[in-house]
Amino acid sequence: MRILLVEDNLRLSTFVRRGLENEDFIVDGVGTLCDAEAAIETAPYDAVVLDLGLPDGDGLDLLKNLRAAGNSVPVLVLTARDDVDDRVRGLNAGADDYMLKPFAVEELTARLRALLRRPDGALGLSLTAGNITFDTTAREVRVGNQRIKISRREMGVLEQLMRRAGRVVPKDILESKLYGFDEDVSSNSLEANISRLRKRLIQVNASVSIHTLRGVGYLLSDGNDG
Amino acid sequence: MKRRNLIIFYALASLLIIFALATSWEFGLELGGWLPSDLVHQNESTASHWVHVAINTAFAALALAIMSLLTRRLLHELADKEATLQRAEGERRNFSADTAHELRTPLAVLRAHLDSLGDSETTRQLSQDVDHVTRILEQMLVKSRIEAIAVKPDEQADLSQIAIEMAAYLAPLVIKEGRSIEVLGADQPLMVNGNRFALEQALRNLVENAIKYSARGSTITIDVMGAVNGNGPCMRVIDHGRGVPPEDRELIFERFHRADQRGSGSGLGLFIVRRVAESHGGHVMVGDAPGGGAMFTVQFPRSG
Repeated sequence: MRILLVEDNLRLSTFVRRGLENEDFIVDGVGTLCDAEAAIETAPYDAVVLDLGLPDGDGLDLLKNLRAAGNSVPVLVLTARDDVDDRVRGLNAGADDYMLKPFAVEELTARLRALLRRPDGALGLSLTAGNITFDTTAREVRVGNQRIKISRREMGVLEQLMRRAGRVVPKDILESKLYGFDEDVSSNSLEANISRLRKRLIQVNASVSIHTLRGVGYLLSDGNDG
Repeated sequence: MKRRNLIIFYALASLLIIFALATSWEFGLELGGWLPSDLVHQNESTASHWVHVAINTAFAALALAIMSLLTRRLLHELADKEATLQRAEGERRNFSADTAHELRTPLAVLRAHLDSLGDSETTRQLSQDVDHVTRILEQMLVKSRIEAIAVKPDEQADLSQIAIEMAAYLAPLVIKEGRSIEVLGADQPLMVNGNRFALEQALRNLVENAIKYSARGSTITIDVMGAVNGNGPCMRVIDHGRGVPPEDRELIFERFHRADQRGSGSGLGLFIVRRVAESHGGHVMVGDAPGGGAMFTVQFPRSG
């Protein structure tokens, strides 16, 4: 997994790089727009981590040029500015995700993995959370090494929750992913599926838990969080 | 323009006007004398009178020109001064925002360095300290931004949407801290005259406050309500912690007041909530939650 890290602060770049390398990413670090452009032309990157305030210009220009040239490499933007306008500008320019400084390196790697896990991303189609792995092509769920059997609907719920592990999945989005337009969704059927899935996960000693947040949605968290 | 020059110019213009008036007056007298009887000198005097009129008009016009020129310059200067004042005010406001931005990168360095040191009790503690400083920084930034917010009459915000999105945004933190969160009454859009960013920040601070002062295993409730019984719409955050004693219910909204001195907050949170409520023509209050705990209510005006 080869990542281009564009960050002009040498110390920040060093530590972030160390963090990513510990997670088995291969990292090339550059400190200017000019070097970043050259790097992107010469090597195929799976993702780019891009700081916006660079000594020779705005990182957003690089991003715009990339997108204009039809390059769809996932880009995660790092910035010290948190104005809503800046965020919107960044996402409009084609950023895939956005992180405000300072950030936990652990979260950066988690978000990078999420980007790489997208349908055309480099990480393939295996999802992990706690001790669960979900092979989305073979439709197989494992807890540890043990393959477990769950219904198609429960699997669908689990997949959506694992794709956004640690974040809220709104109820209506979950429903729209799981049921066809003309299918009759009785109001409790999603809850019923979730509660069956929850019981099943406890049964097989999965280290994750599914939280129901009334009026908000559902969240799958690493079990230690209670 | 210097004050002395200004006075001289005005005096000059005034003299010109007085001169013009005086000669017109003289002309008027002559005219008065001429009209009824003295028809013999009619042609002669009419000619000289018209010269008078011409000269007077020229003087008056000159005076008017000078006056309007001066007035224009004065107005210009006034506008300049106002712009300078506004710039200074803007700079003052931007200063804390810029400072906060400037501090983000060194903090990011610190945080990334700590993360690279691996897990130990010391690094965990230090990471928490960095998070704390970061939160204070964010609060400063929010404070300087909400101070600049004036809610426009046509600005609309959906309380339901704000409640659901803020709950979803904060849910990972809430769960990490061993609490849960729910949103009630947000099935339908609930529009108020308000600024979305400011309202989000107010709600965020109320929920963060609730996390801090509620018990592990309890649920934090966000409740939004439309106008009922002559009251405007409102937004509530209910926790099941130890509540706020009556004698503190005004104090806690003051800047840098903290219910305890554990030092885990910035002391700006509830101050921001109050500032936001007031900038929306409403107010914030705290009472007892049914079943124990605190209930914070941000009340909007009826027309909103």
